[in-house]
Amino acid sequence: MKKIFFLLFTFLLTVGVSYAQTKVTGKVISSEDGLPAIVTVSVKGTTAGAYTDGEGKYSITVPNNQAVLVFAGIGYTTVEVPVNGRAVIDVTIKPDAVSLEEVVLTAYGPQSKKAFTGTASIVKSDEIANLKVSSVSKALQGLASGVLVVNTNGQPGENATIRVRGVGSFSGSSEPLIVLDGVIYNGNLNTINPSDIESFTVLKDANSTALYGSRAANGVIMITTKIGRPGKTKISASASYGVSTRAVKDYAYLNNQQYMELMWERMYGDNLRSGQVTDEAARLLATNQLTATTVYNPYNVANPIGTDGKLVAGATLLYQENWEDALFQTGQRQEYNIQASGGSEKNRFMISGGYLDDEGLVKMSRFNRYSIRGKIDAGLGDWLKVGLNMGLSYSKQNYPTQGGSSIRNSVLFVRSVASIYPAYVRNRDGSFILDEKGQKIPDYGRNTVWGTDRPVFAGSNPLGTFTYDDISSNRLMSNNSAFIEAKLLKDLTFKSTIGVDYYLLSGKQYYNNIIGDGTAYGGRSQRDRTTTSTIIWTNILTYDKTFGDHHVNALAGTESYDFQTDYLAAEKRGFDFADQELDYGANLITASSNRTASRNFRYLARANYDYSNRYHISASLTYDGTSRFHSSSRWGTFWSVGGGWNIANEEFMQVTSSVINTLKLRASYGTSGNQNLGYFPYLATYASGWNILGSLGSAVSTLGNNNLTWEKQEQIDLGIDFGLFSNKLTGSVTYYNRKSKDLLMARPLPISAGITSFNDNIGQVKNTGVEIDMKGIILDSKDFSWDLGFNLTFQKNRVTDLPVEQIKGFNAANNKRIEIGHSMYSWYLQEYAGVDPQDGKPTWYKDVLDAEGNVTGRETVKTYSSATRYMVGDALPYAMGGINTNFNWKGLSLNVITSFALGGKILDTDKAGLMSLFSNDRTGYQASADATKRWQKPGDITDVPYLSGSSMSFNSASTFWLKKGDYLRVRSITLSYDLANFNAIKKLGLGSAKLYVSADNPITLFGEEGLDPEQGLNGVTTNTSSSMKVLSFGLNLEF
Amino acid sequence: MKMKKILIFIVGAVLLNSCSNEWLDVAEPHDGSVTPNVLYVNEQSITNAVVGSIDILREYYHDRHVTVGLRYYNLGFDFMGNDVISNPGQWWTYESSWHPLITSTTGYQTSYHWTMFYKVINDVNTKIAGIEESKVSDDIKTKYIAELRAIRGLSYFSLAREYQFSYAHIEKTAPCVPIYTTPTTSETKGNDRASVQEVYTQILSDLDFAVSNLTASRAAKFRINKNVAQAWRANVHLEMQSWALAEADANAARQGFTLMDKTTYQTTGFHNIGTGEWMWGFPFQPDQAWGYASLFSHIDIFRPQNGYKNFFINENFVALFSATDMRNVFVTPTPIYTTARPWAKYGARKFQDRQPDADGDWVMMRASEMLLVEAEAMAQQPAKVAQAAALLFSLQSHRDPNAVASGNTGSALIDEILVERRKELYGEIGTEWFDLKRYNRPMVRTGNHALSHKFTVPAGDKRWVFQIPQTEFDRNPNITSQNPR
Repeated sequence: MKKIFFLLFTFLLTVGVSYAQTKVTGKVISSEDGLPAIVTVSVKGTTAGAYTDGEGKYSITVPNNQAVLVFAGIGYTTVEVPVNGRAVIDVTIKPDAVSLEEVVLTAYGPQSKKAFTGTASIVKSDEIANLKVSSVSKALQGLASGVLVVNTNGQPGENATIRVRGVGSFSGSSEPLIVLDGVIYNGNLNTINPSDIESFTVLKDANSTALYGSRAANGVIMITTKIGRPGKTKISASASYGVSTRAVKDYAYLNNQQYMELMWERMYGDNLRSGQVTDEAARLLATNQLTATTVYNPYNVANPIGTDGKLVAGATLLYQENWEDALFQTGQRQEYNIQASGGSEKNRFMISGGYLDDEGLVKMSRFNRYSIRGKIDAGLGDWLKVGLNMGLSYSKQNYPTQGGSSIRNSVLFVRSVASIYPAYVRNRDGSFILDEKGQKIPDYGRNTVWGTDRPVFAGSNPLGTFTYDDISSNRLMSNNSAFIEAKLLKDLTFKSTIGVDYYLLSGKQYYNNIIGDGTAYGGRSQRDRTTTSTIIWTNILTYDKTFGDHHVNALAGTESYDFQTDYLAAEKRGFDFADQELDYGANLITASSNRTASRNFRYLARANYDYSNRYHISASLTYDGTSRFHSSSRWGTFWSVGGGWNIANEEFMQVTSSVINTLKLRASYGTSGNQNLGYFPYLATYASGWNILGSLGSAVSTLGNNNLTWEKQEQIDLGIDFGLFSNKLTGSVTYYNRKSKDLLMARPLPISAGITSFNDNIGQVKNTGVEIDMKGIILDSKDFSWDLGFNLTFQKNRVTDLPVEQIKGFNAANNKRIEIGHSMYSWYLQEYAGVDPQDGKPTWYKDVLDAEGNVTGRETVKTYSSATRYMVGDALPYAMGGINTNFNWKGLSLNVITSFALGGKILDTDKAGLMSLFSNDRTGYQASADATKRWQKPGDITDVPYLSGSSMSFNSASTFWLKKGDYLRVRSITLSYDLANFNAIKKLGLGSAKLYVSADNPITLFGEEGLDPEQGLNGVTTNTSSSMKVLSFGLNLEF
Repeated sequence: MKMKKILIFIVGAVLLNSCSNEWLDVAEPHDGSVTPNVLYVNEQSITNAVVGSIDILREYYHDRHVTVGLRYYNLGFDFMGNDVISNPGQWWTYESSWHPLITSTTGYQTSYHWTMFYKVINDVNTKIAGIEESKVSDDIKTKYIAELRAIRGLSYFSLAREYQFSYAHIEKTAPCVPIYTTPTTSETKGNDRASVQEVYTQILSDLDFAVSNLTASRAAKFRINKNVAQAWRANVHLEMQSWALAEADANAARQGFTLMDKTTYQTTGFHNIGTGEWMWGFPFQPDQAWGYASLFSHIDIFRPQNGYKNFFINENFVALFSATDMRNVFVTPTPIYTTARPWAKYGARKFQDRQPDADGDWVMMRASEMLLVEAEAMAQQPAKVAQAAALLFSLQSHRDPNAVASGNTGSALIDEILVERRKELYGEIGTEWFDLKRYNRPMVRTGNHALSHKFTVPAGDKRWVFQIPQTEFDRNPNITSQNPR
């Protein structure tokens, strides 16, 4: 209303006194993108004013030639232009530096970066624009200091593991809190379209996360989606197409000749060592029995290896299977996005749609996502604003097994079945046997050609299982929020936001009745459905006032959080048809449903005070209640303080101001909590299912602990920010010390208490580190610019308290130990001492003890089981970071992103599996090319023992298989050119038309062949698919 | 400005709308776990609680295929005797060789027994407390608490027999096992070992309460009725050498149960819970079968399906059975017998699985056991020796139509009864081992045991008393003494 009055008044005024005045017209464009800007144009000192229209044009009547026009708008620096008698005044208006560059999104509202006392890493859309990531979880890798991002496998759509500043919990979750457009986000990160994202802000220190209280301990990642800017409506469209292959080559395997010769050598050696036969007989026996043992024979003669252990003359290789080619694919990746955004000063919008189709390494592996998002912010009058943000995403993920020990796992299959076994059924002469349609038939190892089953994985072949099986899931995410913001008084604003998310995960696991492990049940099919709903209501009152040199910003509010998850599943076995629906199955095996819930309520308050752009202090307080703990222990108080000193703004720094533009010291301290310990960890429960036939029964399961409460964290941050040489070199260095205590662990009880442990707050972990961020503009001329950025984080994780001195076998695999003074991810393994050159047997170290049990020295032993285990390093890297650079030359730009990690050891059990050295229980198994390094005769110096049918435990877990995890990975190289530099193109109405080629993960520098350096936090390989290398090209258009 | 005032009011209301604990309380788990507030509501829910306690005895899985519930516990003691032979390269070889893995501080059997019985004890204690606080009638409370206390009595009795010498051969003040009669809480620190006398007082208190408050009726044969409780108390009295009390309990317990005939014995008698002679047993149905871990995988060495198939019989024991004894179901040679495996010479077709399911119900208690308890208890009372001999012969002649009464009296009669107990109960409840311990006799290996299993354990040897698991000492600050080695 006010605006209408204002316009009317202006109009009347204009009409009333027009004879005495001059009219000025012109166009306002933004210097950022050359597009029209919507601003107000007013005459300084009067109430006369006008708005620019959608094309940036304005018209205003000025009282006289000396008038000064004021151009002002949200997001732009205000410009004053004297009229000086001109009738046309075109203005290029600059984006407001503060609004674009110098703002940090903190909890419940932005803060000026200059006044910000905490530590945050900000990653903007242009930095991630060209990354071919299917889940936004992978975008941050190498771009944000203090943030560890580890890919876990190569299945498209899978999320990476993210850890902010180390790992601070044993049993609870260490996942950071995700906040999407200001609302806590519970959904799967792979449902968000990366191209919708404007920025990531990773809040790391206690002061900036404290308002999230009990949910802040693991850091907060604020994701902001794009919204229109005032001005002409912008339409952007992008398309890309790429092909993906594995980023790291697989291990090298023996070829068929090597395989058969070494197998012969093993058999000959065993015969000889038995002491029952002469050397001559041992050789002949090996020659004659070789193909009977391998069953299949890829040569055209019955005994391809002669008594000299070499391929006999005249033996011709009929085939050599490449299982990688048979089971893996070159994936195709296509992505299309379209986005429209724009608006006026008061009303802004963004609408986007996207489609992604990404294929993985393993055949049939695929991820499709359809996503739409719409955002509107509307001003209703001067004092009221409302907004709506709705995102809908539907995805389908085809997820054939690609990790773990199931024989369905294609990666395991490649690493298990030797190349002497064909993927498709062949005759003895090597020719294919075809079915009635002339198609090749997968060889399940049970064909009649060789009379006997294939000795390895008989009855299985992923070519069959992944064709007939179906392991897939559909996800539907509906992510919605709406707000109303009212300016109650001049300095007081109230904002109420409600977020409603609904997530549906529908899974299908069908194991067919024809081939593979489903056959034992006549086929089996499981369907499951998980829904989660989250309702969040936030009310915040903000007071913001500047008087003189003083600036105060204070907020107070409440937030409620209501979460529910619901699971439904059923399984049937026995199918006559290939139809996977349960209606076609015979026997109902399971039908189950369950649900659980959690609720949170939080009171929060924060006050910031800035004096004279030099001194900044901030304090916050949160009072938090959760349903996860007993009503007597569920409320907790968290608080924080922070301070900043902008030294560069001090009088005494004026002398150096030509060099030092920014210099700020900052410090913060605060507490936060972690409540992700399961939904009801405090509750005394009985487990159902102790049934005897039809009689249902329950038995005591967990012991209640009404005192159980959240894990607590104290964090201190000390940092320095600097900007030199007109801020061409900027950077920051931050030290942090994050103490996590009262960690949830099982406190042991006497066995005679009848329950072995209960949940309690006991352990302590300390994460310390230094984060360094630097960015330099090396060249910045009209035609050429070059910048270089890098970030580096040193981190250290130490267990400082435990209920018992050490906990063995933590973290699934029994090869780690938690011990005070060591990292939570410490390896605890036998130490390999090499092969005895005299007899070719593997040796390990063993402690020598005196009578009191003290260690007096070490000796080597040849029995693995008697070897001592030692603490031999950490699976977590001690340093990580990234180096990124951009070159621009006349519209041609080159962008490179790399990430690296130092330290962090990986236990390569996959390689160990390939080094069973032809032991009897591994006949026919795939073997590493390193088998050729085996010990052969006394005096040989090698790490690989002799080949033997009886296992000597060489490939059991030991330091020999523990590999250095140092790596550097070029995550992406993009070369792009803006075709709008050609006038012919520009005339089509295009703002820009960027054509690019990019390579994701093109180069991995890593010491170990075959191994992908990213193996999850745990550092144990489990035959999973690896990261993908994607070569793509695309076009981004802007209208 | 009116609007603004309204808004200020709304804002105030929202901010002041303090969250109550009730709002947080609305969140509850429905994830398959059961909370106390639904378990003690009515008779049906309390039945659910009691069935759960019994099922721990049926299928508590410790950590390997020979450590499951009460049935495998019993079987382990059979393998520690002389009559039943284990393949020296198979599960049960450690039991058979009295390996430290069985009886010493870090042994898996001691860990399994200790953990299982104390799990049952705490389960029962917790449920008794829950039932006592519930709003059901006192009659219902008493009935179900009686059943739970019977289970607790059995558990303490089992522990007492294992972790100390037999009652008659040890000081009553000697340390036995810790006693708990209230639910474990987060404040529980652990109790010290109570004396033998205190433990037996607890056992009798539980079983007396059970016998007084239970009746013969029960919903299913796996439940504990008065007969079962009385049978357990009969064994306690036998252990305590309270002969008259043992006699009376054994006699009362077996009322209503009849001995099975030859056909039943040789077909379904050891896999069918419906068999009239069974006083207590655990039923199984095919979908609860455990494959290799299943009982019949171990003890039916003749079944067509795969299995561990490790239950061989000592040739000297086989020689005790006459040709006409219905229990003479021995087969030689067994499928795996070779001259290199003399221990595999004999197998028994006693425990035949239920084809085609490849599994069967588990026998836990039979009337013949009570008959023999009664006979033994009478034989120990000079006035009742003749009655004892007659009762013994009634069983012998039922099993073997050609049986001839021995005419034994005194210790000869008692020894004859002990042999009859072995012949009747081998492979069921560890009878031979517990009887040797009860009479403080040595375990002498004879016959065709594997050489590594052929040894003698003298009477009173320390190994007759299992050591308490080391983890108990690691975690219980109050426990003071370990059994010696």
